[in-house]
Amino acid sequence: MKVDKRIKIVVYLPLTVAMVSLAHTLAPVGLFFLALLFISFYLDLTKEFYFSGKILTVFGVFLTLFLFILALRTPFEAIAYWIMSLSIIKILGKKTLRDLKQIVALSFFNFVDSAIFHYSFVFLLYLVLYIVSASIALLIITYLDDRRETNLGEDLLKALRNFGIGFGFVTVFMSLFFFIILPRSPYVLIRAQIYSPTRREGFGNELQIGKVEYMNTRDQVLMRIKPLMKRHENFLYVRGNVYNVYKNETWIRDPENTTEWNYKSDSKHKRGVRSFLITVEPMYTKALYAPDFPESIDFRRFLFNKSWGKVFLTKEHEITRKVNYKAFSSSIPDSEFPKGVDFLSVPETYIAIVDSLIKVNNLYGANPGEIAQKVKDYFLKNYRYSLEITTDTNWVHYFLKTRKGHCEYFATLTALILRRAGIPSRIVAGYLTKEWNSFGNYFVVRTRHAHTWVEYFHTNRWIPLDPTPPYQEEKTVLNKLNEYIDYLSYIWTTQVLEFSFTNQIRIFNTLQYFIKNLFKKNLLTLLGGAALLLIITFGTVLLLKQVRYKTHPATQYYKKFEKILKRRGYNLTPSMTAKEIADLVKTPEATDFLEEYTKCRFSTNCDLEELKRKFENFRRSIS
Amino acid sequence: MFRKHRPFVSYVKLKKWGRYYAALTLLLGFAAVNSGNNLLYFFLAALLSIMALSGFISYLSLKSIYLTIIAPEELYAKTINYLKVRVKNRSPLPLFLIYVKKSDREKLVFEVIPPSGLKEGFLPCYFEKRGYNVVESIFVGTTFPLSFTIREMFYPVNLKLLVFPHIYKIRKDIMIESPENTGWGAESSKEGAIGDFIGLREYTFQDKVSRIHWKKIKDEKLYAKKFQDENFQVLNIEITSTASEDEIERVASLAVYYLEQGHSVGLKIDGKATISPDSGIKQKIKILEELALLGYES
Repeated sequence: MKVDKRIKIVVYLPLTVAMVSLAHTLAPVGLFFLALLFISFYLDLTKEFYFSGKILTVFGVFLTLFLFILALRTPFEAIAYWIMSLSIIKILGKKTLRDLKQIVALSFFNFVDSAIFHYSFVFLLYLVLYIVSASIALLIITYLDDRRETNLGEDLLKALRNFGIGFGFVTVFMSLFFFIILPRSPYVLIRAQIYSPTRREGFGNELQIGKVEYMNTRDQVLMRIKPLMKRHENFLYVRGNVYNVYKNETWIRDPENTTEWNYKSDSKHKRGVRSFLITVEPMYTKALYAPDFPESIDFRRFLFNKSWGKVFLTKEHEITRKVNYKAFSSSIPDSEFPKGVDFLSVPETYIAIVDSLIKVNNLYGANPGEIAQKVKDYFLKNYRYSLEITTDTNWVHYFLKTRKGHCEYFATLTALILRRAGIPSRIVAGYLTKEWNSFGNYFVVRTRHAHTWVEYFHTNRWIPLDPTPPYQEEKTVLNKLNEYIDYLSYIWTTQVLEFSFTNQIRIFNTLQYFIKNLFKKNLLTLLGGAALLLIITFGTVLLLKQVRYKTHPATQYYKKFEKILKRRGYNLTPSMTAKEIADLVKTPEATDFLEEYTKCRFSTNCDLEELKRKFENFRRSIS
Repeated sequence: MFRKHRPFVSYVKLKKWGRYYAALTLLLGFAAVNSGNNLLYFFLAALLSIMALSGFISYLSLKSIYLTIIAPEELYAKTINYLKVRVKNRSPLPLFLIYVKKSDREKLVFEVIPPSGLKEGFLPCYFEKRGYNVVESIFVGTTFPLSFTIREMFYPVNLKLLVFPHIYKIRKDIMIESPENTGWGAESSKEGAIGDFIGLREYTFQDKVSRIHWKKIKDEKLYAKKFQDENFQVLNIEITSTASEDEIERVASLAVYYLEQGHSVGLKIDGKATISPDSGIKQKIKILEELALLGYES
C-alpha cells in the first residue's frame, strides 16, 4: 500500500532534526551527508523515485566496509557516518509501514551520535525539536500499526499532531526532572577515545621569539574563571608555562614549574589565598590553568576520589571535554630561589643592544623594584602595542626601530634588561583577560588573550611585571548580547555538561536546608505563600471555568428574564422550555422576547439589538 | 443493561517494539553511566520521560472512560451476537485507540473519542452454550500513545445473560418432517392472499394493485380487499426434558421459523402444554427462554 506523503513528512522530521544536529558537530563531512539526505527527500517526496531493495543492500554493505576501513578520525565518527548513510539508503527505498518504523529507529541512533559529539547548548534546542517531532511520528506509527494501514484521515492527523506537540513538551519538562535525579556513577568501565584533537591550545615547551608566522586572534573561548571571593582588579593573569632560559632566540620551558604541578592540599586555607571556579573548554592540553600563583587545585570530578594532591595530567587526562575545577591562588607568595638555573644569562648578541638601551634611557635604580618600574615606564611611555608581524629576521632591530610590537618582544627585552642589571628574571606565558561577564560574574579567557609577561626575583618572591602597553578592545553594539549568549553557554557547561553526583547532593542539601528553615524561621512566609498559591489556583480554576463554559450572549438576557420572573413569584423549573414559560406568563412582551431569544440562541442569524429591545419592553411591561 | 464505573485491575504488557525501546533505554543508560557524558544522560532522561508519560497517559485514558454495556434481548448460542457498548470520555482530552474486548477475538476498537464525547459500537460476542452464560469480565485497553505497551483494565462485570439455543436457517424445500397439521379450516383472523374474502381496509403502498377494490372509491381514498390466510396453522411442538442439544436446537429453529411465518406455535414438554399456542415476538421469546433453560435446574 502506498504511504501517504504527509505521513512520510512526519516520519522524516525527527530524522532531519537528528541529522542536522549531528552534521552541526561533524562538519564538513556531516554537511555533505545532510545534503544527500535532502536530495533523497526530494526524490522520494516529489519524484517518487525508488531504488530496488537489492541494489541498496549491496550498496549499504560496501559503504559499511569502506567507512570502517577508512575509520575516519575515530571509530565513533565512522559509526556516525555509517548510521547517517543507512538513514539515507532507507529513504531511497520503497516504503512500507515497517520501513517507517526503521526510519524512526535510525533517527534515534543519529541523535545518540549527536549527543556524543555535541558540546554546545544548541543541543538543547535540537533535543526539544527531536522529542516533539519523534513523539508525533511515534503516535502516528502507533495508529498505522493498529490499523495495519499507511494512510490516515485529515482530522485524525491534525488531532495526533496537536496531541504529539503537547506530549513532546511535557516530556521535555519531565526530562529535566529525570536528568537531575538519575544516578551517576564515578566509575567508568570502558574508556573510549571518542574525541579527536581537532584543535590544540596552550603553550609548548619552547617559545620562539620573532618567528611568529601568524597571530592567533581567534575569539574562541578557552576558559571561564569565576572569582569566588571579592576581586577588585578588572583584569586577571592566568598562569601557563614558565620559561627560564633564553637561547638562540628561544625561551625554554621550566619542566618543574608548569604543567605537572605539585600542589599542597592544605594551602587552600592559607592566608591571602583566593579561590576561583574554573570551567575549561576542551583544549586537548595536559595543563590545568589557574590565575596568579596557583597553590592547589580541587579537581574532584568524583565524590569518592577525595584528593588529587598532585595534578599529573597524562595522556588519558588530556582535557578532551569541558571540565570544572576549583583553584586556590596566592597573589605573590614567598618562594625559594631555584637552584641550578642561571636566571642572569643573556645571549652575547644581545649584550651590546641591551646595555646601550640601559645607558641611553638611564634605566638605573637603587633597588630591583625601582629598576623594574623604570623599565616598565620606559616601555609604556615610548612604545605601543601592535600585532603586526615583521618580515625582518632581527626582531630586536624591528622592535627598537618601529617602537611597536607584541607582548613577547616587550617581555623578552624587559627580562634581558633586568638580567643585565643583575636581577634574576624569567618570562611567563599565559593569558591576560579583561573581559568580564556581568551576567555570570566571571572572566572570559579567549584564544586572543594569550599573553607573556616577566617575573623578577626580589625579597624571596617572584614579582610579576608586565611591560606591555595596554591595548583597547573593540566594543561592538552586540557586546551585551554576546555576553548573554556566553553566560548561557557557561550555565550549560556548569549545570548540564558538568552536572555531577556532587551537584546532585548539593541540590538536595540546599532543598533540605530551605525546607528546614522554612518551617523553623519563616512560618509566616510559608503560610503566606500557601495562601497565595491557593488564591492563584482558585483564580485559575475560576478563569478556566469561565473560558470553558463561555455563555452565548443571548443567554445573559435569558438569565435576567428568569431572575425577574422568579422575583415576581413565578415557579420556574430548569426543565421548562421557552414555550412553557411563555404559556405560564401569558403576556405578549414575554412571548415576543422568548421567540426572539429562541431564534437568537438556536439559529445562525442573531440580532442582539432586537433581543435587547424586546427584553427592555418586557421589563417595562412587568414593572 | 449494565454499568460499571471502576475497573478492578490495570496491567501493562510490553509489545515487540516496547521491548526494543526498553533495551535501547538500558543500552543508553549504560553508555551514559560509563562515559559520564551528560548529554547522553539528558537523552536517557528524555527516553525515561516518554516511557513514564506514555504509561501515565494510557492510565488516564482508561481511567476517564465511563463504560455502558447494553445486551440485546435475543442472544443465540454458536452465533456472533453484538453487545452494544457505549463509551463516554470524561476527560478534557481526546482519547485514541481505545478497545473493549471480551476475549482476543471478541474486540471492538474506538479510534477517537472526542473530549467529553460519547461513542457507541457493537462488541462481537460468541456463546458456545445455551442457558445462562456469565460474562465475568470485560477488558478495556489501549496501545496509545506509543505502541510500545498495551495497557488493559479489567472490569469484573459478572453479566448474567440468557442465551437462546442455536437457530438453524430452515428452507421450505428441505423441510421433510412436517409437524402435524391441525389447522385446516380453522378460523383465522390473519390476513392472507388466496383465502375467503373477509372485508375491506384502507389501501397501503405495500399492497398489490390487483387488490384495490375499485368499486368503492370514497373521499379520494383507495380500499383494498382482505382475504383469509389459508396457510395459517396452529402448531404445538413437543419435546422431552431429556432431549439432546441437537434436538433442542432443531425444535427452537422450527418454532422460530413458524413464528416468523406468522403461525401460532405452542410448546409441550414431556407431554405437558407448557406454553399454549400463540404468535408474535413475545411468544417467540417465551418459547426460546423455555428451550434455553430446558434440562438446566433453574
